Amino acid sequence: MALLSEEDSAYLKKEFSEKLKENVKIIFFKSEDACMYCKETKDIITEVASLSDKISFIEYDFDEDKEAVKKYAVKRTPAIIIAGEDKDYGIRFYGIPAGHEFTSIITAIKNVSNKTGNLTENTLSKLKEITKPFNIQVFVTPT
Amino acid sequence: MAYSFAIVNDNITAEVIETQEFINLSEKYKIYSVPKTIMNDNGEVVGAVPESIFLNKAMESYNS
Repeated sequence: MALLSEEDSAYLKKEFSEKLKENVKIIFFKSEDACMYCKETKDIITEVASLSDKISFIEYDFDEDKEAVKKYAVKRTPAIIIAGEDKDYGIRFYGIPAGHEFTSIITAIKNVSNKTGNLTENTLSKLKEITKPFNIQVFVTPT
Repeated sequence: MAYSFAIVNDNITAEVIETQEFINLSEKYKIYSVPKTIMNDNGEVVGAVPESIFLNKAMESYNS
């Protein structure tokens, strides 16, 4: 079932072919129980992954694949990780990426692929002061 | 913006959480409006703010 309209698919395909540089991995964690939108979330991101050869899709089961859960420090499901080919940047999305959040996921894919944050020089230099683990949690709604 | 911070600094992890699916967390962090950002459990930003303000809040939280 296609969730994206033909127009959106075509747009994203073009966008990815122009903007993606390095390969990107989308790692998805589902669970069978108590996961409100695991199925829908998987449908959306597999569709996104199918739009570029540079995006690969990997799926794990939160309850069975304990090693992967530990490796990626996944806390709940559905979980989406946007990672580089060989690097986990610490990017997690928990829940269904609908509405505006869908755009954030697309931006994250492009930024990871280009290894950039599109940040100002000032921000980049200040952030160098962060040398110990620092966690940022952003709460959103799918609007 | 949180994701951008995570990309450029390996010590930073950025989690975006869909509030309605994880009510327990929303209650824990008293999420009454979105977006709301919790930094290292000791700082918060309410609303979508410019990069410079997000950065200042992050540094403030990191250094406290």
